[in-house]
Amino acid sequence: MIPAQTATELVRMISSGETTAEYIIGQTLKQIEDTSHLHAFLHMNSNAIQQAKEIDHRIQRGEKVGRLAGIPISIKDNICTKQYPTTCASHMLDGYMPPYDATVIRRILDEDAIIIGKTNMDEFAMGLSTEFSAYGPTLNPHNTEVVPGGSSGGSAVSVATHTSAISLGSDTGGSVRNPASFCGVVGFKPTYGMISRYGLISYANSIEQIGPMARSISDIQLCMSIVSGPDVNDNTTANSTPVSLSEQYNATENPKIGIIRQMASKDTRIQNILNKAIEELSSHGCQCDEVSLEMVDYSVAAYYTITSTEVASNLARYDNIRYGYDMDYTGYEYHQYVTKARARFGAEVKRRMIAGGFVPSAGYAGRYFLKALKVKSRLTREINRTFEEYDYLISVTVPILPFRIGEKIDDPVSMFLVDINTVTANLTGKPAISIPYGVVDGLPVGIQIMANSMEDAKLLQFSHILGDDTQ
Amino acid sequence: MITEDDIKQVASMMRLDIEDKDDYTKKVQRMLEYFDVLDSAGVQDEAILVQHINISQLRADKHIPHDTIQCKSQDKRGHLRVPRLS
Repeated sequence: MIPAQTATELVRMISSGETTAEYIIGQTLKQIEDTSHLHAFLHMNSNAIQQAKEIDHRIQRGEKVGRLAGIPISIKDNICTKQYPTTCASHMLDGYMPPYDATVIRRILDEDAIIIGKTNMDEFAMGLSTEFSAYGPTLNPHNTEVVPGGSSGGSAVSVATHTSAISLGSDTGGSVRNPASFCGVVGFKPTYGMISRYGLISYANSIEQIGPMARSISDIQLCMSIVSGPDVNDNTTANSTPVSLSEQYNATENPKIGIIRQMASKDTRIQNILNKAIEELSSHGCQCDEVSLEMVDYSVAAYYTITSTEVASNLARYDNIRYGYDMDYTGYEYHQYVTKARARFGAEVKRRMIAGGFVPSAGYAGRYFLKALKVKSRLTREINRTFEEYDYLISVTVPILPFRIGEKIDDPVSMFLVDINTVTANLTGKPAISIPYGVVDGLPVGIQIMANSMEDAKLLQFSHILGDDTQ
Repeated sequence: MITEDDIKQVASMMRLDIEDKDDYTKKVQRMLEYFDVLDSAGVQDEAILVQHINISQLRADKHIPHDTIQCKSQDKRGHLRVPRLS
């Protein structure tokens, strides 16, 4: 049996004794072997069976177990795990074993989850196709010739192929929602500050968030109720209670939905799926109108300008002295040594570091970096004004279908533009979910719903209208 | 327009050795040309939103003990040996 059930169902089955954690983990490991050609995982937990047995023993002894007892969870390889390597899919961090667990890891382990393995990603999360992993690309399970999306591609594939019930990814410009859409699973980017970033290896701190992926919205809610909430180790966490499971969406509210004009897809097959979603929302009493967010047209340029700047600063720490890998220093002068060590960065990472060294530099900052911050500010004001009138904003998650591996790799800008519908939530800090809602040419298409800041629980409740199970 | 020399200079300041200079120049140029779309956004007079965090909200400035990272250039006391600054 492939453990295809949702996390919520698996926890119930394990805790009630209907099945055992050992059996579920055993079947999951078998499934990982059977799907290994997709290359979703970079490192495995070799003690998973032993950990499952311990949970089974505790259940048999009648002890209380956690809310994720015995279920397989996969973790994107940029989230620090003390027991397992954390490489950000970069040769720069080959063999790196973090000396501590990220806050999200501690919280899921406290609830008895089993970390099944670490998933593949674009190097340092820079990419949206998982083609920029230093260890080779991940393939889309629906068609192995197309990309699974990214940068959390391995996480999306692991959830889609039932090699984990939940996966934790990170979303800087769509890195959870984009692969969720391309692989047909649910992906959630919370409000900036809802989940601690302590232990998430930095790419662009001012906008990135850890986000869960799963096969049902209820599983996202379950995971959020555990990993969200303030953390003394991350001063950017909002002073709020964790996302509550008990908060019920009131269906009589007749919410107002804004359909974002600038995020329409040119592909009519994809646009038809959005129209179907709008019909379904209308049939539930929602009032749907078109709205305009003019700054969306500039959001991708602003996003890449800001993130490149943060990349140049964040990746400066990889000097092989404070962070890096073992490389003999004898015979090198300091600067030569650092340059030599950094040869292990991949080409995309280096390109963004160079762009990020350039755009905030004296003489160019006004033209690029400051202007990007102004676009971000105007976009935030626009969306805040829109949320005064509308409860939710809707679009397709990605305006194109998953593309062929290698198709966009030589043109950075055509790759960037795939992010057009997702970066707004990051630049403005809003929560956004991608829900699988249709299929075109055998490839999944996701619908994105955004809500106002701190309305994560309400957004998740509302999302149930568009279905709960992965197709 | 950013030139190959600009790219070389930024790369050297960032301690990056780039192998295929033509390819880097072409792709980084393409990125920066695209960023020029920001000129048409009409945001010259927009005020930049800044989030202020009060110092009292920050965590106490206390050392958090962690296990030491194990690597080859460690001596017996656990100190790391690094290349000489010239």
